[in-house]
Amino acid sequence: MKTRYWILLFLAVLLLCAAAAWHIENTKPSEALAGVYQNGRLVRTVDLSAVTEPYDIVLTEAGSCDVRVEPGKIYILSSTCPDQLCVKHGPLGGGLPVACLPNKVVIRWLSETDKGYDAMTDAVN
Amino acid sequence: MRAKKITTAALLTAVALIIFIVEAQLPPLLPVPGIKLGLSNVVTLFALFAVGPSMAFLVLIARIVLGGLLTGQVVSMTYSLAGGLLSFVVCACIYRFFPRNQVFVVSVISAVLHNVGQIAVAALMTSAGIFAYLPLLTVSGIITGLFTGLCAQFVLTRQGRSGAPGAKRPGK
Repeated sequence: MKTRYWILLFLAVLLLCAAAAWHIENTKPSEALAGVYQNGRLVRTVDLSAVTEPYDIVLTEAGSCDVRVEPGKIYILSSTCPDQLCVKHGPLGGGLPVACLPNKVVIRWLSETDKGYDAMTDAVN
Repeated sequence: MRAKKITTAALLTAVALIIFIVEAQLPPLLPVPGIKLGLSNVVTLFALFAVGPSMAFLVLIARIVLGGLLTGQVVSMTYSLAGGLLSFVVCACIYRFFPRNQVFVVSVISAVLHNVGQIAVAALMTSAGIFAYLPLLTVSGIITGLFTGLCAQFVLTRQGRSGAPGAKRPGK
């Protein structure tokens, strides 16, 4: 394949993915229900619209992550990870989750389908 | 011949490790997990095209494991290992079909696959929701892969004329 075609192909994929990324970040859920995951498990579900007083969720399973919950807002306040990307990410905005990969923590919006699944895991736990 | 091979592997690993550790000291480009320049991939690509897949594999594994231990980021090492292995397997299969003026194509494919492997393991270890980062990481993979690929390509085209290690396979 000619070099020119490869460049065009990469450019096309780049533009498509940029559009997809933009779309994901700008898609907000209808409800302010956030899920906090660690080590692949949903450890906490928070309805941000029901929060009145700020509080912290401290996750210590792999490294330590301090998750701050405020009315309508959830973010990682501090973390023991080396790059601090999760702290710099700021509050959970659109579809891109707040992630602290070294500490295996992910905070993301939960959808309707997640809720059914949560009810199930809650019953098991 | 064996001594020469060991020396070449050691030299390439040392270069890759230095690049890896220097890059780890730089502040991240964007506050997005998984986005980095991946400059040490220049060495892996060079090893693949100039010497061959077995050498590239040795250098890659040695760099990821030693780099992970030296920077103390063992969890991040797991992500790199998954990404590195996936991209290596594919690149080792396809690199023969690309002439030396298309090294950057292999590099872009490699960088994107590296991100795919990384994110797949991250999804297993955290939550499937992390896949939302895939398009963004693909964008970054194409850009950084292009950059590192062109670096490797320039080194390879000069090395072809110089008689440096691996220069025995010219004309590709």
